[in-house]
Amino acid sequence: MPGEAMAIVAPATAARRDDAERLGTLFDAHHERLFRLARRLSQNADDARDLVQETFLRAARTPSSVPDGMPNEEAWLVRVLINICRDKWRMRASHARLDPRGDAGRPLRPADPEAAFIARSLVWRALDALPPRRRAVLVMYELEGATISAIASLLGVTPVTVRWHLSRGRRDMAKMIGSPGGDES
Amino acid sequence: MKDVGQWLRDADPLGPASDNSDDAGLSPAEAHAIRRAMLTALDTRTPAPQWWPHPLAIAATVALTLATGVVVGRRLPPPREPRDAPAMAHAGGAPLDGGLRQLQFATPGGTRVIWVFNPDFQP
Repeated sequence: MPGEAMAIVAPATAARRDDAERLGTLFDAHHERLFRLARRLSQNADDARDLVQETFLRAARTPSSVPDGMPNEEAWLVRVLINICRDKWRMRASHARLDPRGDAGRPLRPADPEAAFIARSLVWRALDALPPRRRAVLVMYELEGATISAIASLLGVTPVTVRWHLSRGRRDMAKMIGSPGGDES
Repeated sequence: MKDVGQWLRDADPLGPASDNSDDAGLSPAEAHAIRRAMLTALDTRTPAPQWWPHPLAIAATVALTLATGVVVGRRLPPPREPRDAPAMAHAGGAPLDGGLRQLQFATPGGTRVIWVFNPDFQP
């Protein structure tokens, strides 16, 4: 009977419509901020776009796992994005172990330290070598100007952990680019 | 010398020194494409069964198996104990050297008993 069929199908369709509406709102509210973070966590704009897309695809696969409320949504998306970064980073690290002639094996000493381009790529290669969470902490603190407590609540960790990542990240970066470290936070 | 923060700010792809327009953000077309991909993924995902989650099914199966084992174990009669009577292992029918006869048997506890008959015994 068509009436009964409609009665069975309708709730699922309505739920899907609600999910679509919610995800659309989620995307509109967060995609710009997420792209900025992704760009600073990846080597180029294409990788950043892929990261953003993968993050929202994960949200689409399990919409019920996205918490309600703007700050919670943002924190969830940022954590997913960092987890995706971590997966890629691990994959790249294992490829680098298999192929020691790759980019990761090269020393980080520029031939011409005065050249701005080389210096910039040196910094980004050093940043790229950091584990994704540490890198995210450095980026959010140094480039986005976020406070320690804001980063802690975004990543779902304690402020002490954030400080530790910041300190280790600065020290590792300083070692790689030959800059004076900076446990100055 | 610059500190790490300054290095990072100078090399920031989204900073004022950046000259790559690609880094500025998602173009409307790119944003639209990602949005559409997300909504398509939402439509094509397979719904997960919510009323009978997998871990619960495994736990129920294990519990049922254990309960069945306990019930069957209680209903079965206990295993029969061996009789107290000694098991005859060997009855020496033939006389040994010197005309001696002997009877050997083992008890349920594993003790081996050998009786040697006295040929001079007169009841």
